[in-house]
Amino acid sequence: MPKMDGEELLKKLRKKTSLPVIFLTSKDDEIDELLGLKLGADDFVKKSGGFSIKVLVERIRVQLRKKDPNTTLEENKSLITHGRLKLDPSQLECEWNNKQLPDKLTTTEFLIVKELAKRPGIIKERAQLMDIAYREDTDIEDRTIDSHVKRIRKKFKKVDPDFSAIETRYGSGYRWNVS
Amino acid sequence: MHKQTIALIDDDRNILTSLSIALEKEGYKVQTYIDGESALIGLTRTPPDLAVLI
Repeated sequence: MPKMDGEELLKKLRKKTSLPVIFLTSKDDEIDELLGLKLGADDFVKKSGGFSIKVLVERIRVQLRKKDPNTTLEENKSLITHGRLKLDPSQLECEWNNKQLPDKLTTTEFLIVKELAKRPGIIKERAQLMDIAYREDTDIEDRTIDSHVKRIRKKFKKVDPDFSAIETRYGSGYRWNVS
Repeated sequence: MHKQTIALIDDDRNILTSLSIALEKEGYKVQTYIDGESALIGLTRTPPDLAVLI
């Protein structure tokens, strides 16, 4: 679909739903991917250089597995609270300071927040977060996580402009701030 | 068995048709939308399990 339409649709969709979205990009251009991530895409498949339906089907499977409650451990379905954070894995809903985030987290963003908040103070390397967010994907770049984190912070800042619970540890990764 | 639904959004009917056939062969139910406006309405009214923006 025309580039602008796809991006605009994604932007509008993200205001209403956390539905997993895979974006097919027409260029090998990193900018396209970064823009898509900023708008809330969960994954990408490049159309150029021989678009593979098999790759798309595999990416679809990975995304669906992430949201499938049957593949989630029982303990992961219950509410997770840590300080001002409240996560509801069954609904993919997130509250901060008892306020629901106005822009819902995507499945990938939710998994990153959950992983960080599960062990406050412990540094999670980008590669570890990628494993959590993408499980079997192999060609996702480390910096993809940075875009997700940037977007997560932006969503939290809508309910708390001073939000600083996700700390960047330069050269290593991220951690949930214990304070 | 419950089939998972994939929504495909593209302005090219040929792409929608060929991808639909491929995904149906994989056991998915497919919804297609030819433009952003109808997709936005359809995806919020009858949400699929996943959407692919082409």
